[in-house]
Amino acid sequence: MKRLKTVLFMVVIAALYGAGVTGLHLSSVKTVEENNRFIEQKALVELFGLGDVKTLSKEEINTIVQNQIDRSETLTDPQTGKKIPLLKAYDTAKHDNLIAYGFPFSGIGFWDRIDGYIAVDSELKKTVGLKVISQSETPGLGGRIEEPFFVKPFAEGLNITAPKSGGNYLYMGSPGTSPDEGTPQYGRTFDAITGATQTSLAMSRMLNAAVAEFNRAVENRKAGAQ
Amino acid sequence: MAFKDTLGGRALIGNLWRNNPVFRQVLGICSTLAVTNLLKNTLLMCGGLIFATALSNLTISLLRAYIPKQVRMMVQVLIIAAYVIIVDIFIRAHWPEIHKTIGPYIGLIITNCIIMGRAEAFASKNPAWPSFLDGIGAGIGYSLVLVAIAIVREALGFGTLMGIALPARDIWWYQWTIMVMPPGAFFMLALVAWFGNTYVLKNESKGAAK
Repeated sequence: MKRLKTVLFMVVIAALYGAGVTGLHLSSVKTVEENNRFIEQKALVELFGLGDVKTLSKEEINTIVQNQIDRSETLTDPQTGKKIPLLKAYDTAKHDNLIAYGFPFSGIGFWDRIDGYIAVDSELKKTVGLKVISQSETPGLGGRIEEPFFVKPFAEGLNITAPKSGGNYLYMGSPGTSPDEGTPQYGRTFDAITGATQTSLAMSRMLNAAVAEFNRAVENRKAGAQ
Repeated sequence: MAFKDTLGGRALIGNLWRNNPVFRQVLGICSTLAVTNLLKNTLLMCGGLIFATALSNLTISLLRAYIPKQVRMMVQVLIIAAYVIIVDIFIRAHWPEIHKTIGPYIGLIITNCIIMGRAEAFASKNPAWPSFLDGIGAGIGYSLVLVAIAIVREALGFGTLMGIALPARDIWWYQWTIMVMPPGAFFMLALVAWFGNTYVLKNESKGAAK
């Protein structure tokens, strides 16, 4: 009888707390989804330089993303069969002038998954931006992959044309140094984060993989079009 | 009776210093090491812990007469987990940017030994109000140590406090990378524990001599 009472007590209290927490979770799902969507929209506006997110309202950011970014196409990497969402950013809602393309990247960092977007120019020759959407790297160390100093080389333009055989698309370099002209690293190097070598290496790996997939998918699309 | 002489008052005040959970009871060490490289993250973690400890203590105390002894720890974990999930959902829904920064640490509150320790040592044996105060005191005592460690680690590791650059940072500051990394937290924790224990033990021996 005592054992039954104990089991009943556990069942009742677990059901009560479980129901309470589940109810709270369900009541917040919509808000959380909206928050996540807004974080992504804000990141895309920043990535393509479509406005100053500090001065724009939530609605204005949503309007810019809906009107100036076309997300209707996907590319296919012929090597892996992976579908790559293609983002096309225009300077106005009329879609007259394409300013950049974008595609997602993701991979495992030092602690957990890292997700983000890379923007490349309309000629597909260099990067024009990098934005990390979500990451759980060490705050102050690997977590600095979101900071301006890390993404600056991508905004300034790193070469993403096919490298020479055996070379990488992108290289990780020591902070404060720049590769010599004529070397494979020239125009393709971003700074590692001091004290966060593993996160920097992980970023290098996932960015190279994403750019390689994107380039293969673009070549595949071009070949298909001919 | 003065507040400090009541059961709750003694528990609250004692947890701040004399029975400080971190350097006297050696509880909550994992999160002390994990979150203290930035003061902002530390304060948010402390807020979450004070909330979870106080309400877990209150609930466990209110239910103590009904909780079967054999399953009391399971019930305590269930209650603690529920409050931590509430903190997580609330921050995720209302402060998404902050959740992005400290999200991984919020779950750590469940594993914080302070909550379980206070629930088992105090709340399961004492009335609701003193248990609530004990939880608040343990949370604040933990926070005092964490904030002290975070101030030193952020200042030496980043040259900032709450993300704001310290005066004339460009002239004097040189990054102590070790302060941003876990070993820096070990050094700081050891220093705080050494200082706290020396000071407390000195006062206790003085009191005993009188």
